Amino acid sequence: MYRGREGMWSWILHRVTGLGILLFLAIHIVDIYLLGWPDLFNKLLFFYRHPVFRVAEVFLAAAALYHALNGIRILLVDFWVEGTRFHRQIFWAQMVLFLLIWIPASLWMLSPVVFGR
Amino acid sequence: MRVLLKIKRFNPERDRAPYWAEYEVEVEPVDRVLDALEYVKWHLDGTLAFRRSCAHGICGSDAMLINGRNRLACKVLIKDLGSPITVEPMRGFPVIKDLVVDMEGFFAKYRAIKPYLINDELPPETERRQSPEERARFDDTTKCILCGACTTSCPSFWANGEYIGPAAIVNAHRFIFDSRDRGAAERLAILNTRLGVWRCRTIFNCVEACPRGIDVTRAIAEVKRALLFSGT
Amino acid sequence: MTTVHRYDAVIVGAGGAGLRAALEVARATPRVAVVSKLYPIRSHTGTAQGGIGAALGNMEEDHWEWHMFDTVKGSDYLADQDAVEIMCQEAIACVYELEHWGLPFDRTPEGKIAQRRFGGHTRNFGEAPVRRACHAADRTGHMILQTLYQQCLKHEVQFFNEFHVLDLLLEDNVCRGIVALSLADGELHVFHAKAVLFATGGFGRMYKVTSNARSLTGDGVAIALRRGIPLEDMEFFQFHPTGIYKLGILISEAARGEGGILRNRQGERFMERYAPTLLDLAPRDIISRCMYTEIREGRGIDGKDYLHLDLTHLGREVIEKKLPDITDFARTYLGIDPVREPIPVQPTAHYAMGGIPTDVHGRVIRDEKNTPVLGFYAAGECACVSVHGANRLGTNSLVDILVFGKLAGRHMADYLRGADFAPLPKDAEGPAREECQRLLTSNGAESVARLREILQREMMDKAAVFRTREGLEAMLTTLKELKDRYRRIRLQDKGKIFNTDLQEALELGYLLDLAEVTVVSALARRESRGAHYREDFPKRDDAQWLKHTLAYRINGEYELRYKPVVITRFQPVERKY
Repeated sequence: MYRGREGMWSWILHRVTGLGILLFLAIHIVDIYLLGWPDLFNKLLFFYRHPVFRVAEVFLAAAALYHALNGIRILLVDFWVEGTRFHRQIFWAQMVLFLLIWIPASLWMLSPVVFGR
Repeated sequence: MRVLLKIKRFNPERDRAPYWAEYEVEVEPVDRVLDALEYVKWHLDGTLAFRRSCAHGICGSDAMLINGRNRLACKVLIKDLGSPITVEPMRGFPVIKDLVVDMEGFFAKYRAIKPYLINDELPPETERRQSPEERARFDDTTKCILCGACTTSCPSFWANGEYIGPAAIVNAHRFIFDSRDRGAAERLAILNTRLGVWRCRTIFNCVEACPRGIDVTRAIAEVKRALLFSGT
Repeated sequence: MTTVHRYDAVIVGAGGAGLRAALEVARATPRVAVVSKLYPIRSHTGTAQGGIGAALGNMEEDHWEWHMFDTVKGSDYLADQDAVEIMCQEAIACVYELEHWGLPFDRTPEGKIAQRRFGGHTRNFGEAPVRRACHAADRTGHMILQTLYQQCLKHEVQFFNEFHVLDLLLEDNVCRGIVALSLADGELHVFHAKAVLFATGGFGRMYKVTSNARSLTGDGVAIALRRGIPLEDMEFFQFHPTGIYKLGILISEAARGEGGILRNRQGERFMERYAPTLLDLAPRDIISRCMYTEIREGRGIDGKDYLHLDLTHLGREVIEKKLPDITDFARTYLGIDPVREPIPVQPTAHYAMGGIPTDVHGRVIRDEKNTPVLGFYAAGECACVSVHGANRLGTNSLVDILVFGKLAGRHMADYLRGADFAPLPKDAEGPAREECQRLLTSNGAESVARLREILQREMMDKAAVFRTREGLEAMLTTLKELKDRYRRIRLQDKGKIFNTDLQEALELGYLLDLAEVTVVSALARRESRGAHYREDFPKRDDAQWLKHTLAYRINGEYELRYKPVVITRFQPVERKY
C-alpha cells in the first residue's frame, strides 16, 4: 500500500462512500419501485426496521455526510486559488464537522434500537 | 549504526519475478539512503542496479519507493527512517532491473506537451522584458527535475498508464503561464482531454512525493481553471 | 552482434556544451546524434547554481574587456587571451540567446535579466566587485540544461541515452567515430561519423571530497589520452572553497555574492588578512588555500578540518528568495537553518581547468604546434582551450560551455559540408570488446570500490590543494600499484542488462589514467600558479613556467611537451586582490 496522506485517504474514502451511496441508491430505486405492489412494499418497510438495517443506515448517513463534506472540499480545491495550499487543514476541519453532525445523528438514529420502540 | 535494508530485486536475465532481498548495512544516521544502497553495491552485492548521479537532489536520477513513499534516495536521511528500510522501484513503469525502471513512456509524455518556448515573434537584440511579477507567476513549475516521483505516485496513473501525468502537466504549466510564451492554446488543447488534465482527482500524492516541493496539484488546478474559464 | 550507426556528427555528452553544440550542428544537418551515458537532464550542468557571467551591464556599467581582464587575471595569466577575448564577447550573445529560448532568468524591476556579484568579477580592471552573474535563483545550471534540452527536442535532435562511450576511432589523424556500450542490453554500438565532439565533463571523482556527480569520471578525456591525444594543463584542478563538510555538496559562491562571510573558530573574517579588496569574493584558488592555511594553523572550527560560512546576517528574505536551493541543502543534510546558524564548509574538488586541448573553434589539437585532428572536437569542462588557465572564475564555466559548444558546433557544421565519411578501422569495436570481456571474466580478488576508495583518499591527501615533490612521487607509486591491482579485479555482476558494476570498473580505469597524468604534470611544474600550489616551489615563475603543459602517454610512458601562452592585451603581473 502506498503511504499516502490526507489527499490519498480522503480520495479513497470519497470513492468508497460514493460506491456505498450508489449501492444504496440502486437498492432504494428498486424498493421504491415496489410501490406498485403495496403489500410487498409494506412488508419491506417493516423489514427495514430491523436493527441490522438501522445500523446500516447509520453507515449510510456517514457515507453521505462524508461524501458531501469532502465534495465541498474538492470544490474548494478546484475553484479556490489557495485551495491546494490548505487542503489538509480543510480535510481536518471537515472531519471535525463530520463528527459533530454524525455522532448525535447516529445516536438519534440508533435510539429505537437502544431504547426499543 | 546497523540498518536492515529490504530491497526489491529483479534480474530479467535470471529471475521470473521480483523478490525481496535483505541486507544489513553499516551507516551513519546522517547518511542518505543512497549511501546505504552504495554500501550494498560496493561491499555486499555488486549486482545491485540503481540510477544515481549528483547525490544531492538536483539531477532526479534516484527516485524510488522508500518505506512506501516516492522519494529521492539521496535526499532521505537514515536517521529519519530508522530500520528496517524498504526500497522498491517506482510503480507504473516496467522494471528493467532492480531499482531501474523504463522511463521512455515518461519522457514521451513530457515531449507530448511541447516543452519548449513557442514564440515566433522576432526577439529584440537584448532580452525580452519580463517583470518580476510575471516571472514569479510560473516560478514553482520551473523547478521540475523530471524525476518521475509525482507521476509514479499517482493512483490515476496506476489505473491508466495513458494518463499524461502530473509531471507533463507541470511542465506545460511552466510555459502556459510564462508571459513570453505564445503556445498556451496549443498546450491547453493537448491537456484538455480525458487522459489529460481531467484525469486528475486531486489525490495529492504528487505534492507529497515531489522532492522539489512543487505544489503540483495547484499547478494542475490552475490549468483546469484556465481551461474552464479560458483565462490564465 | 554490433550495431553500426551512421551519422554526420556524433556528440558525446549531453550537458551544456554537448547540447549547445548539437543545436548548432542540427541547423546544418538532421543527421546528428547525441550519445550520453545519462539521460540528458541528469547531466552535471544541472547542478550549477550561481549564475552565468556576461557583461550585459543591466545593473551597473560593465564591459566585456573588464570580464576578459578578470578572467585572465583569475587564470593567473595562464589563459590564452585570444580565446578569452572571444569567450567574453560571445558570452553576451549567448545569454540573450538563452533568454530568447525561454530561460527564466531572475529579473530586475525594469524587467531585464538580473545579475549578481561573484568571486573575481570586478569593474574597471579590479577596482571593486561588479554585478555580472546572470542568475535564475540558485538554479541557473538547471535552467540552462533544461532550456537547451527543450530546444533539442524542438529541433528533433536524435538521442542515444544511457550509451556509455568506450572508445574513439582515430586513424591517420582522422576521426571516424566512436564505440559505445548500451547500458540497457550490454551490447556494443559503433557510431560511424564524419565528426565527433567530446563534451563528457570533468573528473572530480578522482578525489575523495568532491562536488562532482558520480558520473564524472573523465571518460572522454581518458579515451583521448589513450588514443594518442595529449592532455593539456592537467595539473590545474580547482578546489571550491565552500562544499558542505564531508558531503562535498556545493554551497554556491552566490552565497558569498549575496554577502556571505567565511569565519574561523574565532569567528574572524579571516579573508580580511589575505585579500583586503575582494575579501570573500576573491578567486576560488586563493580562498581554498587560505582556508587550508587556517585549518593547518589550528583555526578550523573546534580544531577540525572545516570552517564556517556565515549567512546569518543576510536576513530570512534574502536567503529564502535568492538562495533557496542551498538553504534546502543545509536543512536537509545538516539540519541547519542558514538564517540562524553558519554552515560547516571545506575546500572541495570541483573543476578541471585542464583537459583535451582545442583551438578556439573547438578542434582538438595534437601538439604544441596546434595541429588539428580532422573531425575531432571537444568542448566544455573536458576541453582546454584554454580560457581558464590555472584557475577558473565562478560563472565562467557556464559561459565556456555555451560559447565553445556553439563555436565547436558551428565549425563542425562547416566541416561537415565538405567532409566525407572516412572508413571505419578494421574491427572497430575490438579493443572495447576486449576490455569489457577482460573485466567481465577476470577472476582476481580486487574490488572496484576498494581501489577507488584508495585512489580518492590518496589523491585528496597528496595531489589536492597543497602539493610537494615527496607527496606527488608517493602518489605515483600508489597509482602504479593501483593500476596493477586493477588488472586483477573481480566483478560480481557478469550480466548484460544494466551492468553498473562493469560501468564503474570502466570508469575507475579512466580515473586511474587521469590521476596519473595529473600527478606527472604536477610533479614537472616546479612553480605555483593558480590552483596548482607546490609547497616546495611556492612562487609563480613566469620566466620558466609561463607555458601550457601537454602530457602524452605513449606505450605506457609519459612524455611532457609545452606550448606558449597566447598573450594579447594583458601582460602578466603579480596577482593580488
